[in-house]
Amino acid sequence: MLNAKTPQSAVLETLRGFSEGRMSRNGAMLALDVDYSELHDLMAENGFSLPELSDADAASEGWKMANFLAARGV
Amino acid sequence: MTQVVIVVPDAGPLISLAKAARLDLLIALKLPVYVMDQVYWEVTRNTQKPDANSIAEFVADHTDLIHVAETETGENARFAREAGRIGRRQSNLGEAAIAEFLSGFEARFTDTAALLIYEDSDFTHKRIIIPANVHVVSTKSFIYGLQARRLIDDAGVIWQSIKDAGRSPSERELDEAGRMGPDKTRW
Repeated sequence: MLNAKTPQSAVLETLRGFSEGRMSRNGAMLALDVDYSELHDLMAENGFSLPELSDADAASEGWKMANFLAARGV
Repeated sequence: MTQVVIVVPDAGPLISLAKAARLDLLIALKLPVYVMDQVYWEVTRNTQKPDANSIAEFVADHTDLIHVAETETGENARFAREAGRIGRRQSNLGEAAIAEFLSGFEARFTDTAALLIYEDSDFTHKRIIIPANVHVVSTKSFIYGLQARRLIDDAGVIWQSIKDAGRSPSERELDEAGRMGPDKTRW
């Protein structure tokens, strides 16, 4: 659970840091004393996006996955 | 033909897919799925959470495809929990469990390749050695891979539904996530 003593500004800065890739997931979880499910909810509730690959990179990696599977007969 | 299995070494993909009610994507390829025992414990331990329950139910409903992979790391952690020696925060052990699983992967699984799914936030920060017969994707790129395989219509819409999970209705996109066909194959 979120530590009630953590100031809201610190919570938001941690969420922002995680969203922008300046803080690792484990770092954010430790700072806020939450697990990933709770961190996911906090991000959504406060309007922050999860860190993610760009659409172009995700599509490229997706094609690599498809090729990896196809090369093995899947 | 080389058999391919999906390995989930990270709680992130399970939680993200569960929050968007899209755990079905894990078995869309109809390949065996292995969830590390330590990861499974992490994501299901709090039965007060809807996503924990949905993951437990999904795994229980698909035992033909989804398996909890036992590791010494997971077993030792369980013994320690039962003895009260460690608390609820054990996320670093998930990484140890997958490192142990992969270290023996090539020897234990002859003619088997694996697809590892990490959460996007950790995709570029892995600290484990990846064997040659293992391919790594992020949650988002896995979904785009399913689109490349024509198993889903629009990866972008599904990814948006994951990002929107937990937001208030006014913040959500109006688009609905695409759905897979109803066909299922049992192994």
